[in-house]
Amino acid sequence: MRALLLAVLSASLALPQVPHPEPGSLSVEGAVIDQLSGAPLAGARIVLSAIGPDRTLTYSDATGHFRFDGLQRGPHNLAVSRNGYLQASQLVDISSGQNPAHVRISLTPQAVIAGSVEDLDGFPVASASIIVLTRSPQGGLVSGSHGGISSDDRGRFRAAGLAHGSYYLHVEPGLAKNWDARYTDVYYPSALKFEDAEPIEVEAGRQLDGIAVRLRISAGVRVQGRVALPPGFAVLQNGARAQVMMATVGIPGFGRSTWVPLADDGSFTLNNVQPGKYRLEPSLPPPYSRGFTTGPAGVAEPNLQVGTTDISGIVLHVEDTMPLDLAGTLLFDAATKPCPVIVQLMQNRAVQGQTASLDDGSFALRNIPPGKYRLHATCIGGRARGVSARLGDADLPYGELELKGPNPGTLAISMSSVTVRVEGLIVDSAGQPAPGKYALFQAVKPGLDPVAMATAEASGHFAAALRPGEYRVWPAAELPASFWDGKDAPHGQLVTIVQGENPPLRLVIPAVPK
Amino acid sequence: MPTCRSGDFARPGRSVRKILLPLLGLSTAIYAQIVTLPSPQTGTVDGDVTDTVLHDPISGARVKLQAGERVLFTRCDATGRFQFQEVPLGDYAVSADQPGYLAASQLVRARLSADRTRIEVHLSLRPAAVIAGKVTDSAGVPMEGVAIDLLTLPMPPSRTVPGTRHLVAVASASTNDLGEYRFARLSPGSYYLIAHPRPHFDDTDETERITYYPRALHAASAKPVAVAVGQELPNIDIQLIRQAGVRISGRVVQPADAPRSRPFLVNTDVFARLQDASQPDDARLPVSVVNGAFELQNFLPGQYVVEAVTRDQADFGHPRILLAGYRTVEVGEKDIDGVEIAMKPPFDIQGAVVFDEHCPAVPVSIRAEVSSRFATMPPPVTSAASGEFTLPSLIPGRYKLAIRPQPAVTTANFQYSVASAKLGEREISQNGFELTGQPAGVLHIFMACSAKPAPREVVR
Repeated sequence: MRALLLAVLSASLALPQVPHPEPGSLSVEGAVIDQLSGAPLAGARIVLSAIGPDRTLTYSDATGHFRFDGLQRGPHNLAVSRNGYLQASQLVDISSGQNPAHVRISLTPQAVIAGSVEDLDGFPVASASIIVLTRSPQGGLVSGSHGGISSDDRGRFRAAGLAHGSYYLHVEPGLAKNWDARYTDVYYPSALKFEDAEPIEVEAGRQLDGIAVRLRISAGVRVQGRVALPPGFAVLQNGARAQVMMATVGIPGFGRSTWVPLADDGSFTLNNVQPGKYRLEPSLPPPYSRGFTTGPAGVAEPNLQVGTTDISGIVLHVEDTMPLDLAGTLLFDAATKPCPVIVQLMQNRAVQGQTASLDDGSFALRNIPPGKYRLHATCIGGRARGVSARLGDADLPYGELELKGPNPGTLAISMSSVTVRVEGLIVDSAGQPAPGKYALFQAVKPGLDPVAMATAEASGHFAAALRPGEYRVWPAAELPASFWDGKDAPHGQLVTIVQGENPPLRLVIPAVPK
Repeated sequence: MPTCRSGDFARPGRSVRKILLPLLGLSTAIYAQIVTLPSPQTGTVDGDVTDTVLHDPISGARVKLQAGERVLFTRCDATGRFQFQEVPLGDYAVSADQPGYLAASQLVRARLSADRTRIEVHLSLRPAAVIAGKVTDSAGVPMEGVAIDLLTLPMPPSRTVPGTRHLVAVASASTNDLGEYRFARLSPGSYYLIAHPRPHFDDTDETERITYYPRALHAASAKPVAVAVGQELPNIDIQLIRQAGVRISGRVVQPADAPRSRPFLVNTDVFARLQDASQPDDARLPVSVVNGAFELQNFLPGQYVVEAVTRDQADFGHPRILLAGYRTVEVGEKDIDGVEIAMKPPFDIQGAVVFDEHCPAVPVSIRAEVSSRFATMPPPVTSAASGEFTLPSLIPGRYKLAIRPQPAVTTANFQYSVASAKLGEREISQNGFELTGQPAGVLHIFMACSAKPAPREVVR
């Protein structure tokens, strides 16, 4: 698989691959070592995956070695985990050039923060949930640990799997709140506000014990308001009660939410609200919303400043967001044989709904919650893909579709199987071939699949299949996750791909500045 | 007697007087009137906290006195005694708390009234038991993120059939990076433990299996852990069993009249589950069918049901089942290939309720419950006056019927029961029946009845 196109990849996210892929004749072998000591690591779990859902698992042996056989050429990912170490993954380009391919994976020993939570009586606090926060490179706060951590009956907690760094602990009062409802969230060691939190520094392979968190009492204030409900709207629908969500804002990258049910008249009361900035949103039961996938169907109070006095009289409004139906049609260009097409609406790369077209090229999707979607169309058993789309008389760049009721208009998808083979070479700044690196293409006029990529082989050569048109093309050592959105800042050279012959491309990976 | 009083509780009895004085413009006449009210406004609650088992006082226990939003706190002294003074009159709930004891194991009501301004409360706390241990893989390496369920036999214990113990989960936990888990604040009793190595089972070559304490694949060979009041069992370790499974693969066979370009190609899912629903199953996800073929990996020996559905995913709200089918497969030591699942569209069953001659006909509600990963519980249907009913949109599967006369009927003079049921000529047992497709005959439900005992005349 030398060139991968977005449609192929997106189809593989949504659709399974054909079972029983032909086993190849290539292998990869390697060793897993401790990054600090260099010692071999036995019993590491290694999951090998290629493009698609198929995965193979093995464990490193007593000498830290492992091997996978029967592989086909192409990029493979090795995900390596072992107790007491941070997870690592490594991309290997498997080709016939060097067989077996050799990899050496060094795992970084984890850091651990352990301690206990106690309340104002000095009693241990059970079931206090601890969130380990760290600064992201962008300056926001992100969770630094995986999974939930909570204190046991002795108040003890243990945050493992941490990388070397500086951490803050956010602690929720757990069972202490059952004893006294005024117990509130604190930051280590005993701070009500993040500004007063103390960072904890840990090094790789070190365990920091005895981190003592002491809870605090703070009554907070009461926030009251109501949701202005649409006419005929019942607060209780099919056993589900409409709610109001209150989420923290202003702590970058780290949000927490609570929900309170609405009273029958649409009013709500939030107790024990601590000072800070919050966002309030109505959260309504179906058919008005579809849980968190499309978000609440209301209008938010985006920036509620809570101080030391009670707040009342907040009014939240609700938009009518009944689900809607969408009818569509397919347009095949002259060079493309009509075929049945899977039409998919995606959100956050997850398929929300899909259908296949009928023989006359029409299709219909029903009961779609209003919202923003991304459209994909792929031929079943053929090469044609959706290249552009119109809703009513509006073009849909990037296949982005915003659906609002009740009559969204007809969705027309243009299908084409026309692609052109474009070849090229990726070299490093010294002019040497750069195997395993990527050629990334971004369409100047974005359609349903605005990007394409190809991987360089051992010789540095690549080949991509592109539709005719204008592209930006650039080489990259890694594939940014945001690339598939097609909205990364375009860089690199401008090329025009025409039907027929195209001159080979030469892409130079710039030297990494020291 | 030494007492401990909460520092942060407002004492309305005292503060009311302080506020009233300036508010009332120093009217000594009125002030005097208030202080000479005949009934006192506050009272005293005192008592002690002891250990339920040892009957020893629990020194340092904390005590809470609560009436709605009004909450008072105090701590016990070295002799386990506490006292709340100047408590506004009212109804209170008193509870105590101490590490190592069950939370809120006792809640005592206390009422302070003008007639009774001093109340003595005796609270006792039950020492909590702990079960803790470590989970290792088959090589003895501690495993992180293993989900552990703590199970008990339901009370009262139901009849147990060997190999199919019906256990219920009372708590769950997850192992930390050292493989440790801990269940605290337990009541004394006998518990089973089951470890799920990876909460989200993927169909790679995963071979660590769901394992009962101490090292068993099945509930029948699991050993219970008995824990006494206040006992801590710290070394209840579980070593996971590693055992490779086999493949189940095959095809789904669409009906001959299924149109090609309908969504059938994309939306068919297959799932295999143990037929014995009392056995724990791996947390697997359904697998999609591609070009009519499916492949499911890594199954341990046992009797499985392999089921498939094709859904109409064009409908965001309620993906309708268009086709469904299933096969029962006996999994042993070898891969099983070539399993063919015949897909059928949902079908209706016509039925009739037939009453014994002497029983008046009444409406009866009938629900056909199918055991399937893909089906949702259908609403019951009610028989018409003629006794006829239709069970709509059934998919192939193993069914049980839930049959009950309408609630209003229970006021009549007869008690109804199901005598028997027949589908076509086939007798239907209480254990359920298989439906592989549209059955040939009508579903007959035969109802018997017995006269309710007539209300006896009261003899004067």
